[in-house]
Amino acid sequence: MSFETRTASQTAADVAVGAESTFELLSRARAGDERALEPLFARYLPRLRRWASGRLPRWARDAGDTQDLVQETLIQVFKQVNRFEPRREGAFQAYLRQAVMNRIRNAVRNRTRRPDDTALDEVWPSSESSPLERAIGVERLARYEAALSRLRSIEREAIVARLEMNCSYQEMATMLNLPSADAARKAAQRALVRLAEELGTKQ
Amino acid sequence: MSDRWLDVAGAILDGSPIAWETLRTQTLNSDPVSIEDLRLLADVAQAHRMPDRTGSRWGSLEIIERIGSGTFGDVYRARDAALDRDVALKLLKQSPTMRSRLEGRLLARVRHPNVVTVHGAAEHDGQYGIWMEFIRGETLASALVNHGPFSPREVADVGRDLCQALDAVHRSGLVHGDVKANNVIREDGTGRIVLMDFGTGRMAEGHPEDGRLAGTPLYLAPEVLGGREPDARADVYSTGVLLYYLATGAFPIEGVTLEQVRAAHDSATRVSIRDRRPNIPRELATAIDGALAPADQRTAGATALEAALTSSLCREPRDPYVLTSELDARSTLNVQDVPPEAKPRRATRLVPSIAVGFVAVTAVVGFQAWRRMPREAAHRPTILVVLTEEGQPMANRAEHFTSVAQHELRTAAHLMSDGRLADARRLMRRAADGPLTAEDAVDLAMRDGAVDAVLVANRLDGESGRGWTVRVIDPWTRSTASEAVERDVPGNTDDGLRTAVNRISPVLTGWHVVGHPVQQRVTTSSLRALQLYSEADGLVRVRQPDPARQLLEQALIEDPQFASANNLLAWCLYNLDRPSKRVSRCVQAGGGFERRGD
Repeated sequence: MSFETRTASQTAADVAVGAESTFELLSRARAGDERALEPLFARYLPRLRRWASGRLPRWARDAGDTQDLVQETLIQVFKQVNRFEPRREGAFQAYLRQAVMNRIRNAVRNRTRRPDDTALDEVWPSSESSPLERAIGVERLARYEAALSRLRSIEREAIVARLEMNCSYQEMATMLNLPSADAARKAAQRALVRLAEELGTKQ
Repeated sequence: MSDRWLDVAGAILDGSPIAWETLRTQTLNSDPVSIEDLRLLADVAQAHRMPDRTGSRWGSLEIIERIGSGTFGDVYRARDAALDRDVALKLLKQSPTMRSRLEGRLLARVRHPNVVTVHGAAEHDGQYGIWMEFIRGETLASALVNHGPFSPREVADVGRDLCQALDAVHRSGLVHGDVKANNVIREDGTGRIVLMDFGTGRMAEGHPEDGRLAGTPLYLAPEVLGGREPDARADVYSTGVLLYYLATGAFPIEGVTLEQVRAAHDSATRVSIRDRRPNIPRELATAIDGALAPADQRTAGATALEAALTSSLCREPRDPYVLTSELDARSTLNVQDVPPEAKPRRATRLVPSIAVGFVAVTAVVGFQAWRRMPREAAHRPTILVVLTEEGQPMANRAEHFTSVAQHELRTAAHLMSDGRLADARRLMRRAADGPLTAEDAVDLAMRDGAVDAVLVANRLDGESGRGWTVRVIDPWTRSTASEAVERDVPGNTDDGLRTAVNRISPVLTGWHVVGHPVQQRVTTSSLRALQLYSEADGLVRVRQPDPARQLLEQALIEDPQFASANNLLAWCLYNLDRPSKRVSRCVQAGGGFERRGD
């Protein structure tokens, strides 16, 4: 497989987003440079919103107060950015993912049923489950999450980046401190086989 | 870690297809990984790539159903409750670049009936989407698969509409960049040709590591494959490829991988369109060739291509109204100038003239031209070959038997020395073992407009014994012109088929001499209209204008622009002694008259 062919727009996207690495931006933010926060938002907010849209039940996506759950989480994380010293960008992304996941779980747990929801549920019987749960199944998704949490962190970062965030292999190479897109793909392949093995072990 | 599992992991990560069933048969109990777990991971990857959003909301839009998907993302039908209308919503997998966003905004300003109207673009839930006019219809790609290649007339018509659309795009300072059969929709009912999907091809085309360029490389101009940014000329090239494809079902430059396509360009191994389909009028072939030329010799722009296509239509010898120029000036009238209500005296005087004029047209265009046809050496008979098995589509060895039948026809009576034999499956771009009935082939022949006969070879393999029946069907009347049965021969050998084909070949030779006049003068994209017209034509020949009129009126509901049906309807109305007003309207619509001087 060749990894050389790159299209014009992809290169443009890389230039637009990749002018400064996340690592550099984080260092600047930690040193108190608030201007570094905006490009960090621009980089992670759309990606995590898309990721979260598959994991939020319909009621949560429709409700105004939870709509910006991802943004709120990011603001919180960035506020405490000086406490966070990632070894790799990939670790930072995995950390953000976990933070948003926790927020979603909290929101689902704390949900108090409002009376007008009943009518809505009649039309939308699947209002309680997330699109991802419907596509994969609640039990299978839980098994996946559990197995993922048992991987070594660099393996988990590779899986999250490729499988969940749709990062390109080139982006992954930067995130995982690997020399090339090809090396990133190989690392992701090994991580995926490890994950499949982990799924097979009884816990 | 075994290589096999790493390969499967790679396919899951890349999003390439996996043959799970094959994999299952190769898996051992001792393997450390189970197929079910790998499938779970593939499902997780797929669900994150593009979750089905049906039933959810995106901004203020309610997503109703998924209507398409591609490398860029998915397209949904969505409901805009505020404006009480359906829209097409395209949700992109990746966020577009700044440049694409700017392009999207500019494109929203392009207003043209042949260009899809973009209503807006925004981002919700981290997902970038564009919503636009919702058009009910089929893409040209599916039209080709469902109905076979387009007639030359249709190709030129579609081409002209697309050129107008591209001209509007280019004039806004933009480039479409992804003109292809999948990106053009023919609207149900109206037949309007609509160019879709601009920019999105370049906004998000999946992971570049896959080694694939945006869209399919088969449509890309050689200079774009060489790394140049696409420009208006590249759009002209893609349009040329599209028209070539609609006419032949094949691409001018073919190849499976990017490398093969590049190599084919470098060695200039383009197959001429007339080699693929000899009945393409020379002018149309020249127009399409001009669009496919290297950048520095290519047709200068969309407007120039449109002009070339238009003139190809005018010179098309089968076009019935071109021959009006051969008429005496006195017998041609422009009835449009003379509304009967306004000038009753002149109108009454004119009625007989109109009638005379029309009869003259019919006589000259119709019969004389028809009679001339068979004498033209240029007429090459085209015969479609289709194989069936006990009346059902043949599943196995269809391709083999097709070539046996073709070979027999070629050698018998030198029938096909300059003709064309077409495998109906190939013509329709169906797989060699894909289902194709005799009915499909007859429909295809009728639409094609230039297929003279359909040869249906049916293998017998049941209680009635083994063998072959071979039938020649006239697609125009759907009747069987000749039939040969060979029984008690082993149905799975070639001999029975050879004998049967030999027995019917004299009938086909007759075809060659006579030609088939009726098909030469009809042009419409509606199969239903063609069928109605053909039925009406039969009735007119036996002097039954009244039932013919009803059929023609139905045909004109299917396609109001169907000139031949208008002409024939005018003839029927005249013979039925109907009020002249309707006759003149039909004659106008049929374009059969032309004002000459004053």
